[in-house]
Amino acid sequence: MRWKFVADAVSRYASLSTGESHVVYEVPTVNWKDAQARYQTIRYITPGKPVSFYINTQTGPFTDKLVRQAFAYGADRKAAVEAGFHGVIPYEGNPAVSQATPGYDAEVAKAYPYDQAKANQLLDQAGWTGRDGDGTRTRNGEPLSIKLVYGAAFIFTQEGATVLQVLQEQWKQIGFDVKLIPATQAELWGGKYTDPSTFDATPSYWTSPSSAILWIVWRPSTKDNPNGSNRSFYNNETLSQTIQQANAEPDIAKANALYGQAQRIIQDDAAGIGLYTQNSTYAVAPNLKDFWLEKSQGEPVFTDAYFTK
Amino acid sequence: MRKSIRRIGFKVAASVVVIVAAASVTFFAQLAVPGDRATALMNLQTGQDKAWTPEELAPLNERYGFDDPIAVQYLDYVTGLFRGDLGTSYTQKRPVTEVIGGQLLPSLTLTVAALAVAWLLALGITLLTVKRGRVLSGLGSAWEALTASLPHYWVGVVLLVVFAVQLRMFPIIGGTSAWGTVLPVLTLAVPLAGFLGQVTRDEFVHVLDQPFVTTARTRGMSDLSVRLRHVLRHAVLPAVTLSGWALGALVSGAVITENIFGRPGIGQVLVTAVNTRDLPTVSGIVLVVAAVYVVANLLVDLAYAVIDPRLAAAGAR
Amino acid sequence: MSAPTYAPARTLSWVRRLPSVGTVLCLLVVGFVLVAAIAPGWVTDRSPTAIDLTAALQPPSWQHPFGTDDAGRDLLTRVIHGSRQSLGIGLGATALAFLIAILLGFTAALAGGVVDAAITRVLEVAFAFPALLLALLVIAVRGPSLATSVIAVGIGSAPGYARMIRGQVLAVRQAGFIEAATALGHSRFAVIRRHLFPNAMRPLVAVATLGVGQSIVWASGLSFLGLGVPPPSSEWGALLDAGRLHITTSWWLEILPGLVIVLVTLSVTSLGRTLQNRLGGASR
Repeated sequence: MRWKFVADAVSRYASLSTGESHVVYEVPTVNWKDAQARYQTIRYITPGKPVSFYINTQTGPFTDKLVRQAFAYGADRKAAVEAGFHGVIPYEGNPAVSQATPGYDAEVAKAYPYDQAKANQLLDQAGWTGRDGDGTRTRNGEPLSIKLVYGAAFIFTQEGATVLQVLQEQWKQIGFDVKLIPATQAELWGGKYTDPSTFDATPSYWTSPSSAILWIVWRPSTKDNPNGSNRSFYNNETLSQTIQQANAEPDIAKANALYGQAQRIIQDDAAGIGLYTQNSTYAVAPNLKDFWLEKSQGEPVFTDAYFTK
Repeated sequence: MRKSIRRIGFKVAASVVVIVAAASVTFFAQLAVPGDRATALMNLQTGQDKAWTPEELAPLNERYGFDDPIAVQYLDYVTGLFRGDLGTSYTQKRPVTEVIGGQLLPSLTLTVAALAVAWLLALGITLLTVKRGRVLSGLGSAWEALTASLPHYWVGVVLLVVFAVQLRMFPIIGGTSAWGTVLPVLTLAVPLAGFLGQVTRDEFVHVLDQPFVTTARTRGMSDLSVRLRHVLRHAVLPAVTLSGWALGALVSGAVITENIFGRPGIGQVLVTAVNTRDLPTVSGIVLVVAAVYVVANLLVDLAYAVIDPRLAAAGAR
Repeated sequence: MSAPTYAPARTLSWVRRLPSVGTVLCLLVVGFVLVAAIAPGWVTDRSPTAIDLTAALQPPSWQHPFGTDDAGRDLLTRVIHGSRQSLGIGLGATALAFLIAILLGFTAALAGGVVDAAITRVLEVAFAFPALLLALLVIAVRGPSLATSVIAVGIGSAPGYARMIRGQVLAVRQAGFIEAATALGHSRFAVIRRHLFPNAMRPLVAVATLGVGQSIVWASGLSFLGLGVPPPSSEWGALLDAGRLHITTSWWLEILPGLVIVLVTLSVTSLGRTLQNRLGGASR
């Protein structure tokens, strides 16, 4: 068996059609329909934190819960995800865990449907009533500007960038001036955007087989025991208690109920905003049988695979 | 004789200085990149983008000497260079020589082949079309102007889709096989050929008007042999000078081409290393590219001497 | 990204052979792009970011001559609005490159001696440095943005111009009229400003024009690696980057912006060469 890293998505997918490869990872969503017609396709939704926004609750406009909620209501996230990913990758309204995670609460995911009237009302209520020349809302002369930092070309592919641009345009309609700031891998990993002053919202994901991921992400950050993963800078004692109880609970049903509560707290407070699920997509040549994926990360398993003629 | 040996000695010494200077500039430039190297490595290893505590970072700082004064780090690096040690890759945890070594040959093959093909294309079209009547010359010039304006990456994508995906004439993931190298080489060669062709054509036209060409013709030489034996020799000089520069530019183009065709080479290694702040690897690649550039320019000097002995005698350039 | 160090002289280019038609066409293209860059509103009344998810990925038609992208944005409108950034990078990078090059080139040629030797060495090192890496490092330090692209491309092409300018200044300094002016008792600065500078720089006007074309191509190369101007900008390279995934399914998104880049670069370059023939080339 040979592994090959082919960075370019066009050549990667096309190599399947010429028989140069038998399994292709990360099928471009534009080719998904074609792939379904010609090959075996596998779409695996990874459990853990989906691709959702961390919302900076410590500094900037999002310290106000009303503004966070208006942000969630203000754009048709579902339609944007469908457009950017050509209907292949599911929208995920739950910012805390993805639909493939044990303990996922589907009800929580339904909060904040697209409703610009509601968003406008919340922003008015929050005091962002002025408008400047570009139609951006203002409060005491301050424009409602949002710095949205995202990992360009590694967390976000071109498809994901399209989703963000659709959202940006819709947020503009209700008076948010959202600046998309692409960050390179070196910048993001080098720590340029760790300080609360550097961003207002940043989307990312965290693959994990269980809802226990909640504790890693949402554990309160204290001086003695900082939690750099809590990128919303969101310290909530009730949330902390709930997740710890859930992690300690031996009974699965009870644990999941507690996990559901935790998800609801995060969603109600709009400390995070859902976007879409992280996925592993594969297209497999028709003559390759019994190829399957391992259950936590969706890594391919070839031990049982064989070719038919 | 002694004089020329001294000259060569001086040139070699100057070249070594240039190479080490290029690597040094890279070394310091990377220290100017904001953010902490240990943090970047931890995030790379864990796939996160968060802040870490000093305790968590201590082992990495210790291991790679990130806490040492910059001067000490630099001195370590430079003394290593003269021992042939380019350091250890932070991310791959192997000697940089090993990391680059395996990828060097495919990249070198690609760039050198592209340069050769570009020359063939440029010379062929120039010889066939210069001063061959209004229509033919016009076509030749237009072709050169057009190809010189083509962006590499766009040519690459279009060639890939037309010849590999649609027509199936070439493999899509060619790797380093000869057949799979054709499209990457063309991607780099076609725009360069346009550029070299323009330069050669200008000179060719100029030389064709020189008195010695007329003299050769009156001696009854055929048009073809006049072109080949007298004019060409002079007309290629400026393009030869440019070839040294072109090889350097091709390396940059190769990064993009390797990416499109999924071809192994230092291009992908370079982009990844810059992104992960793998300082020794980036510096190592610059060192190698600078060395190739320097050698290419020494060869250009040599080519000059062969094509036009007068210049060598005068010790020009 | 280094600029060609060679400026062809005394030539008959194809544009000159077909003076009226070719040059006029090139002027038309460049003129149109300039208008689009300065006042895109005159050329089109659509918005480059207006989204219409019901009209996504439509092939070229009367209503959308260049088709639409995955968010239903009109590609032609995006190309027109993108010309400001693309042309801005081309002009800005060339201007920056010339600024650096003039400083280095004049200092080296006029100071001579150790300074000249030092600057020549520095240029030598700069040439040996892969231009793309330079760009990657500048982007790593500053983050991707319009200004970053200008700086990355500008610094990358400066050494080539610096070497040319140094040669020009040395050549012009030998000319009789400079000696005459000096002999007439003009101050050193006045001689440089009134005689040396204009005469040394005149042949480089055409080289600069060529540089604008090359800068546009290089900047779009950075965007192609996902390191260019941030969205929702429709800088031409960014359009190519976005269109790449679609090339087998919605060809227009990749092919048409590419053709625009080629056409504009070709026009600018051809005009540059015509200009070169009029003004006389720079000496090597």
